[in-house]
Amino acid sequence: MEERLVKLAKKGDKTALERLLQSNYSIVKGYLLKMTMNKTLTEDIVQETMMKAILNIKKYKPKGKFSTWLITIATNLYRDKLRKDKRIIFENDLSYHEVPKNLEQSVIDKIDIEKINKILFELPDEKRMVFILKHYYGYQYKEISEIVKCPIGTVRSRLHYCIKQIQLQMEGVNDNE
Amino acid sequence: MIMSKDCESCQKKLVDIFYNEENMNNEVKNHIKTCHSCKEFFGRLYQMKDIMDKAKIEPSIEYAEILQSFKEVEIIKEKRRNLFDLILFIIISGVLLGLVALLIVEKYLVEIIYFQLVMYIIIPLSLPVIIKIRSLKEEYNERY
Ligand SMILES: [Zn+2]
Ligand SMILES: [Zn+2]
Repeated sequence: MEERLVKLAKKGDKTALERLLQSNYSIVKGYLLKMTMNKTLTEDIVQETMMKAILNIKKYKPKGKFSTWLITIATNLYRDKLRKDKRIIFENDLSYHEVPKNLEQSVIDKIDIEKINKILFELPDEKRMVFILKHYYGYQYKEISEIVKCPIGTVRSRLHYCIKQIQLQMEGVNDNE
Repeated sequence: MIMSKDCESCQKKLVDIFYNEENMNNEVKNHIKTCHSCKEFFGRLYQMKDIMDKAKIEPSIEYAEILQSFKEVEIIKEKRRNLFDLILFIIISGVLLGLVALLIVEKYLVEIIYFQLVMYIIIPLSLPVIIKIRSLKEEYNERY
């Protein structure tokens, strides 16, 4: 299915490309929200990512999932932004989160989610990338190594580092349960 | 807590297993059986997952935003096309002017003036043809 759409899109079929962007929109935006924790910045990068994909679709060499390509573009754009402006404002804004079923639960969840986001945001950018791609999006080490452009061994140790840090910090989240 | 080299590598392997990169093997299995801290580490991975998964997000698809991106790209492409046209125009007129200058130097001034007179008559005649081609192109662009 995706393969066929990619083929069509590369030949200049706009509808095919549009459908590819639609079906991968949520992954790209979710990943960026987790990376930046900032809604405005995320929206900017999402749009730039899509524009880059539209401009460069003919140059795209399919290997693996289409989302890998989009995430790679998004990651590079995020790095550019970081280089230009070191202070990214941590918003911890949950308005983009799905509304939970009952209110009481939602308050507890909200506190937990804020804590989790804070723990994530305190991880160094290049390491956090690896954790988010692995934990939330289930990419393989090989795919992650292509996205972040570093050897699989490095991906593996970055993931391990993140897990150690998270477990260290997590005791706080665990305590109020 | 001091961790042995075995535990360090075992825990890395447990992470691989936890994230489906590797299958559980006997070496790891036997180590967990005898090592309390690695066993605990493995259990904590599942705990971590339960907690971290609360912060999972699935943003809804903004169809309008995607369409907007296509539009913005069209604007960029149009700008590039215009810039290309401009550069082409500058090059061609540069070459033509150079040619004329060269001919003047070579003392062909009278012939040039005759040639110009002829062109002044021919070019307005070709205008309807150029307009027709242009409008056909635009129609095509609008349709696709
Ligand atoms: Zn051990
Ligand atoms: Zn213990």
